[in-house]
Amino acid sequence: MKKKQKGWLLFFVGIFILSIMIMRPAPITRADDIDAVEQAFLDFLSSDTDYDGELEYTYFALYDENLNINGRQYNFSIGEVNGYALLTEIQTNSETFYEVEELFYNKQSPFDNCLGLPVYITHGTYLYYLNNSFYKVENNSLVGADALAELANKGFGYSGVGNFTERTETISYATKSTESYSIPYDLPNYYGSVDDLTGCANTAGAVLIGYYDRFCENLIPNFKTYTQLGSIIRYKTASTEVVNVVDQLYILMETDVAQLGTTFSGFQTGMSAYASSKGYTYTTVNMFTNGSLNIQSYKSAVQSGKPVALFLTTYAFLDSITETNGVDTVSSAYSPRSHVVIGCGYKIDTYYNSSEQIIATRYYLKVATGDDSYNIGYLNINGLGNLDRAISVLIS
Amino acid sequence: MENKKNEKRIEESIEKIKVKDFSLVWEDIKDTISPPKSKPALNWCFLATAVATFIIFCSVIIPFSIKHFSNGEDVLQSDNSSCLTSEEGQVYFVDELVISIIEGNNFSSELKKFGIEIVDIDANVVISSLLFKTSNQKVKGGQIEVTDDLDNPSFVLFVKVYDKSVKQNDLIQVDYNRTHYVDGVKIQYRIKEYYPEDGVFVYDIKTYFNDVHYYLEYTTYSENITEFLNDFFK
Repeated sequence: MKKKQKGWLLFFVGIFILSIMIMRPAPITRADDIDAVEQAFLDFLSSDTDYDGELEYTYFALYDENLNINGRQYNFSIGEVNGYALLTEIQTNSETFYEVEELFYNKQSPFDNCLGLPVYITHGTYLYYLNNSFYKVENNSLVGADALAELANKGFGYSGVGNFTERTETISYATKSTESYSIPYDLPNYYGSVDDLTGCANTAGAVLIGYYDRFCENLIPNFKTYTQLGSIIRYKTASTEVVNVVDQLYILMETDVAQLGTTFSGFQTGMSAYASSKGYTYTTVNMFTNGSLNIQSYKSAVQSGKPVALFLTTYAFLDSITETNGVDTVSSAYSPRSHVVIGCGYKIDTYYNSSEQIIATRYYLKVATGDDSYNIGYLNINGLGNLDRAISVLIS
Repeated sequence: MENKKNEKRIEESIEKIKVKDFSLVWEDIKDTISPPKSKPALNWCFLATAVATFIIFCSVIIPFSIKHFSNGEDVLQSDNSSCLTSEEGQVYFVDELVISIIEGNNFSSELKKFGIEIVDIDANVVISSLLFKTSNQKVKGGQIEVTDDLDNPSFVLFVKVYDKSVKQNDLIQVDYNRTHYVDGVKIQYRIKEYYPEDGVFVYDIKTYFNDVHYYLEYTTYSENITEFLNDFFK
């Protein structure tokens, strides 16, 4: 190759590399001082992981639809285990939170393959900005202005129930065993929206308050949330007092303020504020380990009488399990919406072959669904839907 | 001299070298210099597999689902084929209704204003009651919870009703394993819970009566509720 051509080649290569570097923020290594975002990441990671080893991490910025920095992606390693976390900034009227929206181990972030500025504005949707347009990372399809606005409005809030479509699974087996448990008398069955259709988190919060009012009588002053036959508790359905609680939580959780529905941080802030206003303390414990629900932690929580708040980006309620000649047909109603439900129990079906080996296990969480068709029903968490967060709740 | 000859030989050799066009050179080396970030090439094999899987899924699972659920017994569908129609012909979904708290002694009268006539529940002590409304404030149903004595109840009855125009979720399968008839009206029920230490039964009951969908939860000390059903739906 002649010198002149070699020179042009290097020039074009240099331009190419430079353009990639300009469009994609360079990784920023760990700063000496830990800022609030980093602290949020470290706090979450410490409550989630049980991997051993030295922690190393880098991060780069994530952007919103206006190309303002609104979060970070952290790439980390703990010993030999790699992972990534996506954090976003959640603004409330009084405070700024940094929420870990996703955290996965042994998985590559979708943003690692994007061709421009990484844009993260709602759960499970990964965009990038390039040449004055937005595209989806997964298939590089163009995202129009209306679609972008809709995604931005959805934000990181949890907003409601509905839009169900049927999902079916069949399982063939020789024998089957079932393990189940529920908090005695389940939970209050509150559902329905008062003025809007985005208050699922408010209703879920009211379920927790209605439950704990049994033990903390001033949580809903001058109101008993149940009727009693002998020693049997039957929770009352929604009443003026309960609707008032829902209305208060709508304000305290800042529902529909910066996004549709309620963010996780908004839920926590609102519940804490409500409990505190009545003279009680609201405490939660993360039920996730290594990025997914720790079923043993969940079982322990409900068995000790602590309901578990479950935050879902898409989900499925169990319709039925039909057993026919060694074949179970599991029918569920799948919703693409984001929702909050409160867990009070579980059902675990274990399937065996003729050699008594386990061939499948299916987990169903008994929950106050916040839906007046499903009432106290079961959440099908076997590959249907995304469980973002699970926290056991204690009000005392 | 020798050097000049060598020089000339080298020049002639150089002239014979064919230099590739830049674009061809870039094509050869671009992958080694910088990882390709272009759009991934379409994997036709994967696409064909995905399409075939989708076709097989549609041809097997969807007919199975349709067959399964159309065979499921549902008194609301089978007993009254007009249950999804109203004067306006419009169908409403449970999920789109909002709740509105109402005083218990107005429950029946408010429903009646919107053409929903229910059985007489007013004689009981009301624990709570609310209406289900559309976004433009049309009442499409409601629920009421009653007992005989708030402090020392012998029963708690929860009644949920919907107008015939409200589409019911017929995918949720509840095993109503008992049937009772009152004046020809089929009523299905089951024992949902039983607390032997207190002798308390919790029943799930459903029926379609006078163009109204009824769902009841009846908590009682009674082992046999046929008398209750006869009185309630008379």
